[in-house]
Amino acid sequence: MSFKDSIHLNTKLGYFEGEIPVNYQYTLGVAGNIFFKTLMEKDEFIASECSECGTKTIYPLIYCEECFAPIEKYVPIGLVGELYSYTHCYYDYQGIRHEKPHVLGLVRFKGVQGGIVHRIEVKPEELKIGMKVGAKLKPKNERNGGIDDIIHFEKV
Amino acid sequence: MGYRKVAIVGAGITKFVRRAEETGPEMAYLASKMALDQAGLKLKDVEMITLGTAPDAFDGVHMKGEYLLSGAGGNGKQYIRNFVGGGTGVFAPIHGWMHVASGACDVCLVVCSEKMSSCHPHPQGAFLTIFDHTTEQPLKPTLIWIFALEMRRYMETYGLTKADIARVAVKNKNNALDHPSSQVADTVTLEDVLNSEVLAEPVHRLDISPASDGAAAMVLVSEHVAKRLTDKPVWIDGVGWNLDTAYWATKDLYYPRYVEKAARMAYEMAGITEPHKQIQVAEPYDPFDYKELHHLEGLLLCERGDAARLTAEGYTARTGNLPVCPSGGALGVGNPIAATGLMKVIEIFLQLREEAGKRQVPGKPRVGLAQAWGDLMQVGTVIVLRR
Repeated sequence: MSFKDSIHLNTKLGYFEGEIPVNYQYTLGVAGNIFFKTLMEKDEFIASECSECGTKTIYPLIYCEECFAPIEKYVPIGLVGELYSYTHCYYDYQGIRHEKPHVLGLVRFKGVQGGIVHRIEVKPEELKIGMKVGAKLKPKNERNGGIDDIIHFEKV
Repeated sequence: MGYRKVAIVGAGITKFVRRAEETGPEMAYLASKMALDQAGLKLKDVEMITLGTAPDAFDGVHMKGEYLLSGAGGNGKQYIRNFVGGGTGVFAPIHGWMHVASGACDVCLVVCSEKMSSCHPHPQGAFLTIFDHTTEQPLKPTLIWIFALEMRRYMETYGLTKADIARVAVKNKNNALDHPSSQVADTVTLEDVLNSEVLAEPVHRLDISPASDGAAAMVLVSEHVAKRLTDKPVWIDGVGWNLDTAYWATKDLYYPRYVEKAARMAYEMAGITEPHKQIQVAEPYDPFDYKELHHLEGLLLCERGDAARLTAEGYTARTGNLPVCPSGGALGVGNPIAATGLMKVIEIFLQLREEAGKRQVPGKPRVGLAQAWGDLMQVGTVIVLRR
């Protein structure tokens, strides 16, 4: 069987199955730890604020992407932002179709660079770019310091 | 050959640790900022950035070059990732040299960052698929297995004992006691190495460098910029690299020909005709203790099969005729793959500037060399520096 022949059954050719046998434990990082600990304990998002150029960034970084100064200040920015864009998702990353699509959106915060991508729970007829949305958080005793401490964003 | 002169004017390096709290981009930032501060430059002064990092599977981040970009100062800049496996850490400054020597830019930031601790249960799992999927992977090999084959063949060819090899681990782990970034410095003895756990005979646990997290960075500039910034530029005088086949079983396991070819390229560029006399301090790649000996021979810094004798006689000690791995090397400082190679180039930079502190070798060296190696025994990267 050569390259130019059409193969419709993969196992017709000799093969071995393989995998990369690892899994991962990612650290939140220095700025990530501050962000998720604050969200877990104080119910608020924080941004990093550059003491040299004033740029605020969410998710926070330990450095300013604009001027490369080290970040010394993290500031609260509340839980409410503006819906910058959204989409209705019908397929997941394994190619499986959902019976009902879910809405994913990018939420931005006034005066802050960056944003948060998350699930958006808003009635279809009310969904609109520019609308105010706020984060609905899990009860404090159910939070574990990760992105799923946010259940979704909803209309405020 | 019409290349512009390229100088190193600043360097930075994080601690090497088993598991860092910092993310990859955070580690890249810390090293990059240190390098820029030492050079007296701001990020806005940097025109191009080259980043070296090992396979994506270590960090568990696909397109790791793009992921690390922000911490390496690449946002909105001419940024590119370079990669030649374990040889990347020395190839990264070679890649930066290309940027400046060619005239494409005057200021290039070189960054290497590695976060191996994300990978569970062990980074060896990520190495599995570098082996041939049909003929080798079904045997579930680890890199240690094939390096055990290489080490045994090397010992057999030259009649070396385990003790002949283990002296390198003793030297480097003790040298690393003076390195502020060190992860596994220790006052180990020859008996400690010989009696450590057997992993794949003849390789024992203390013959091997650890998996590490860490980052390193350096600033390369053209001649006219160097003259403005410092009275102590260190010049990149020669660069060389060479890659061999992935069918590693076809090669002579006792001698790294690809390292010799890379070294010859670098020596020719640097005008070095008698490397064993002209190179005054060296940082060959030492992820295993026998590799330092292997590489000293491939680099033509001694006769084939003679590196172990020279080590036993103290020739390669920090106070010897040719100090080798005065930093403590991968065996002592740690081995966050790409960052290790750049750590070695930084060590030569510091030695030539006489800024290596307790690690400083005597004799005011003027010419030094760093080398890295990697993949399936197939990559050699060499850089020659001169003050």
